Amino acid sequence: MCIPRWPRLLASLPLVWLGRIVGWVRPDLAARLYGVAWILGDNVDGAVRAIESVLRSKGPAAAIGLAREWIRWRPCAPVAAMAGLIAVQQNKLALAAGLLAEAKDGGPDRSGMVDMLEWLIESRPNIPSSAPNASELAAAHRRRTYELARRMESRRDLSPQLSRTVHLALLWGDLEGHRFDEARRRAKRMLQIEEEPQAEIVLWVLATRDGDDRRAAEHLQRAALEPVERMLLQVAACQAIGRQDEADDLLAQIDRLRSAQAQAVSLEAAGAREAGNQ
Amino acid sequence: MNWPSIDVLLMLPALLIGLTFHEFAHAWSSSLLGDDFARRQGRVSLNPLRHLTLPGTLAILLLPFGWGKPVPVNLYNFRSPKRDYLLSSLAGPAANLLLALVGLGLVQLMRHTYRFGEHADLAALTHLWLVFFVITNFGLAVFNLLPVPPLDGSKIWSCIVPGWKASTLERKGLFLIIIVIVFWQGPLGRRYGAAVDRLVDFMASDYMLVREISHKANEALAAGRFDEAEALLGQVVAIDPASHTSYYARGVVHMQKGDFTQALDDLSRAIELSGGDPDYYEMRARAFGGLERMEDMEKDLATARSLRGECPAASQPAAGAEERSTGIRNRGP
Repeated sequence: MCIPRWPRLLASLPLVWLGRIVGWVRPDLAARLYGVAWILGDNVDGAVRAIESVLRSKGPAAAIGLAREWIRWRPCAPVAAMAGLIAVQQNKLALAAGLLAEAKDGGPDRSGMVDMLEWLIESRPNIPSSAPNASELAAAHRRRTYELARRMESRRDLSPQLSRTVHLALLWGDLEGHRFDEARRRAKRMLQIEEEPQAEIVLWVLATRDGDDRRAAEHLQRAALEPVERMLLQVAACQAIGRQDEADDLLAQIDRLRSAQAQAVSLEAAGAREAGNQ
Repeated sequence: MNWPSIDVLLMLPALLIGLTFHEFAHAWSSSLLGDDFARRQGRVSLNPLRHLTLPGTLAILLLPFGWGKPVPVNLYNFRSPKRDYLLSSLAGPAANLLLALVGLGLVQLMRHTYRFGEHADLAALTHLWLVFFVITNFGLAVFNLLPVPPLDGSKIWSCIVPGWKASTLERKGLFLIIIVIVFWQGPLGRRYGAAVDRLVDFMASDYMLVREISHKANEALAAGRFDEAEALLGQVVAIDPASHTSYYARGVVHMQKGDFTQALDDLSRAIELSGGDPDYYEMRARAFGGLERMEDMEKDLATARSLRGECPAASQPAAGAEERSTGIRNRGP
């Protein structure tokens, strides 16, 4: 198109904004507006929003179909990555991998979705539990994921969400690799940035290992999670540092807690039934 | 909405520039501190289109007041998360303060509007826009320091005050907004208003001063306080020596006081500067009459008649005739 990009982008902005307003009641119409914005002004934000609208109104298959149609016509990294993320959600990893390849050939990606897609594909174990060497495969996968995380950590242009995910992967990787000082340092840094229950649990298990019960109790208290969720993380942390006995104890506690919760729920339901009969 | 008044038209570009620099400063400082996510998103740019957002832009057009698209910051990329987050959050208001200071400097260069000769009107308009520019950027800096999410102040204060967390402030956002509105209606707003008034007074241009003094001189003249009017008009001609209306007005004041010699000087200067105005000749004829210089009086009356004869339209009440009757008319926009 011979018209410079900025007037076209300027003209496309009201369409995207209108699409956002219309999208609350008519996602299909919003998708069309976003589509026009993309065609008119190469407005990538509009294209991604269009796919989101189609996802909401017509489902994942239609959204992926629209994205593939568009990238055949005009390659675009964020559009391909958006479709890939939907494919990952649908557990269609082969399709997602194909879309990732197209995304990497689709020019610049300002949104950071291509990195997120790559991470989600690479970090997903996808190992059949029936495989004879499943545990070895899982260990090899964990190593690969850790290496990928290290590579991503060195980058300075990742989105905050992906950085958090990468740091969590490294945190657990360091704990499993018994690099405790590194894990402690990383957990403390994460806590400087945000309230992160997983970092608190890692610090809890390290404090327990050091025999510092007071500090361990503080970290456990700060891990703002539901009891069962918190205990599951504690199990993972104990297993990571090889404290299987404590992990088993915790699993037993979780069983007891869950059965007590189930009992309480069934009693409540019975009470409600009785009240209804009366 | 007072759209599209001159104030709004002057405010809009000032606001757009202020917001663009504000968001650019956040993105640029983040990038300098090690976080390239904003740069990747194309936010290290002075292109306003990159920083516009739907509600913020609608607000600019309707209120006029608005905000830009928040710059995403990835704290994991900072070397020292808390310190660097504080610095990148401060960068936006600091950019607005810097723009306000630059604007203040330009205001100082433009304030003597009458030195621009025939371009004085344009200079006065530019000066007025710069005043809006300074006030807008000063306002953006102050407003963004309020500890209310999603304003920068909520991030800044949470980095400075121990125990304050941005997430806590976000939860109490509505409550804080109400507190700020209440305070803004009271002491906070009054102090801000007083500071802006002082800033405007400090930035006043010659044109603004002349307008203010001329207004006072008009009042004094109408009330018959001729000495005061004379002094005030003296100030006006000191600032704008090319103001023939002010010389004319001072000539009228001298006439009222019976000082025909002084009146003759001022009216002659007014005629010289205006290039020949029949009203001025007529008034000078009266001054000559007061000095019993009948020949000169006849000559001026003839000139006035001849000027009116050459321009029949001039016998109609001309634009500014009303001001001239009391003596004062300002130049400028």
